[in-house]
Amino acid sequence: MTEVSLCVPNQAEYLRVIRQIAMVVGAKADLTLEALDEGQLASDEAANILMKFNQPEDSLYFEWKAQPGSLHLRSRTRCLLPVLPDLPETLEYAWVIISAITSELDIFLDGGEIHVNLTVTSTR
Amino acid sequence: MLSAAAVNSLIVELRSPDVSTSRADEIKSEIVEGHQGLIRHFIRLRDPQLYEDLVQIGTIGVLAAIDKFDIGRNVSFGTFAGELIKGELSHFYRDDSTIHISRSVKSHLSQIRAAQEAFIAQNNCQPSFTQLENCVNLNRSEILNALQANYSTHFSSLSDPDLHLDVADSRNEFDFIDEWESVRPAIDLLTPLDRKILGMRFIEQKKQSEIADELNMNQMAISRRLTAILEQLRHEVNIA
Repeated sequence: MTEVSLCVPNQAEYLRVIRQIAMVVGAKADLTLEALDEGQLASDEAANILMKFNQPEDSLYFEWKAQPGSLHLRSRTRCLLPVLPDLPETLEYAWVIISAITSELDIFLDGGEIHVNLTVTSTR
Repeated sequence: MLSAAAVNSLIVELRSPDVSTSRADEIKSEIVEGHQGLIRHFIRLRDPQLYEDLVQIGTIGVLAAIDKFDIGRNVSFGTFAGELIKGELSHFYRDDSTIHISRSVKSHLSQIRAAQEAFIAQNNCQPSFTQLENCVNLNRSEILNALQANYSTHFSSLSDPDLHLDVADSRNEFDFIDEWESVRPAIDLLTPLDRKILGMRFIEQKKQSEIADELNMNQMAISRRLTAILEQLRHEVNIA
């Protein structure tokens, strides 16, 4: 089983690194090309969701885990909001996208941090 | 669009020794204006963010055609100009470093795509990464590099048959996409093909491979276009 952790500044230029790690770990999980692509997209969207709720000086934390046929991502950052708003309404198109490409999706607040946990699974 | 006879007449006048500079400029402008539809035809399925640049590039093609067109040959100005517009666009895409892919990576992508399609034809399912790795004579890093290049490429080559798909305007079909207020300007700029792909993937929730089958494209081409579409939408959100 492969696990990779990453902590990056809250800056869009790191999205490329996030996508690349998602692809490499996805390959270790033996995903199909389609699921590899969606693992990248999902990681990208998770990062963008985290960036909506934190402050510029905050860091983004990611942990990918490869299991046969599945890529799991746990991601988090500091969140100043005491309660999350209605996510489908707030995230709009991003919600539609991340919901469509993940087999499991959990976004929640815990200990002053927003967490985006998701799984992308190969369907053949 | 100007008729072939009208263009020929203007070019004859342009080339006459006593034409003034201002009249020559007027004639060129008239011919360029008369071929805006042709330029738009060639750039219609390309990145909307580059629309103005691509119109300029297409205009260079028309101006080159005005200089080089041989009235005595049995070909219309529009046909001749179309070839030069395509040439200028090819030149632009080859030279633009943001979309440059080395020949070896292109060759790897082609091998991967062929192996993927052969596997699907034989097994009626998508190959896993390891199965794909076993079907191509490439190592893991070469495959990952090629796939990364595929996802990073927003444009297809001019010879890519996907660009010439005749997709009806999907505006009515996916009206509810317009409810995505934050990205509406970017949605409006999408080509009918991209709008259809977006709707099929995220509204109808079809898999990339299913969309590929329906549109007679391949999964990697769908993946490439989806990546480009989503980057456009995100760009719209970020600049809003």
